[in-house]
Amino acid sequence: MGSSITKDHSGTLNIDFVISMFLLLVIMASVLSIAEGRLDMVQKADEAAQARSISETVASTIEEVYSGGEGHEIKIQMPPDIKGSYYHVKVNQSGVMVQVGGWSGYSYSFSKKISDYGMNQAEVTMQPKKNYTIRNVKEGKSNTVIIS
Amino acid sequence: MDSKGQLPIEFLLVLGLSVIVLIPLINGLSDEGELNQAMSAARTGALQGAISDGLAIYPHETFRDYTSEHQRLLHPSGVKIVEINYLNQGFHQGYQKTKIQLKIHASAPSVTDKTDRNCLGDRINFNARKKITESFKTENLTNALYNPAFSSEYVFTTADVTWE
Repeated sequence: MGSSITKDHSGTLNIDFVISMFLLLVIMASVLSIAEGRLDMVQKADEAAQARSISETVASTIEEVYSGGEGHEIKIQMPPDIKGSYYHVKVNQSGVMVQVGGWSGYSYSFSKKISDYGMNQAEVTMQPKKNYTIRNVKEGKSNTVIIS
Repeated sequence: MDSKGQLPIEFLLVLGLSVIVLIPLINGLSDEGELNQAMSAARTGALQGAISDGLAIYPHETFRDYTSEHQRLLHPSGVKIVEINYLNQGFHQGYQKTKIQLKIHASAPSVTDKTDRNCLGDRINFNARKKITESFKTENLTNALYNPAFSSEYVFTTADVTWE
């Protein structure tokens, strides 16, 4: 009986097999479509999470430098990109803003003076893949966070 | 042996009956499959909206609006999708499709202000409708807010998000 099932001289396919394959293909197509949507969502979520992480890291570093007092400094390296997308970070006296691929996020920090080495800027832009030194400098009676 | 090429009447009856049963079954399965695909897309979109809300990462234009009006939303907040269900509102004569209203339940304990919650809910609903539209490639049928979203047999709208 076993041999009569396996032998197929006319090259025909069993109807059960054809139906099973058809159903399998239908299910696979639907699962793949759902998986594709979810993967896209995960990619975007990862990008947003990394953007948030960068802005929070910069903001907390600035806080730490400011609270450390005069002369305190921390070096940070900016990531080369966010999931392959270009980004930039802007720092001003009230917080840190990150912009990537049409999206923006903001991390607040306590109001303080921010400047670059020129000491005359209210906003500093940080570029990807660069090393920055964040330093607490005494300026008259107040302290300023210098990003260079 | 069937030298005249005839089929037995039993076979013809079974075949006829199978066709009669299979046609509505396939129609029903196709509609259910379409609804299933739409609900899955809505879930993906709602999650995407909730993640954007939760991480407080928004499109530039929205970000600018929130900077002046909803500053609380610039802080990250825990937004979770609790449940998504739908209400079949019957056949819509205008669209000539069955109308489905999606109802999304979410939770955001750290956001208490009603207008702030409305903003979060609008983003969740927008992304749910957007994903449905993208899933069925019906961008040409809808508007910029993807409201309503279309599939071949259904038209989808969203009710205000219920906060729990």
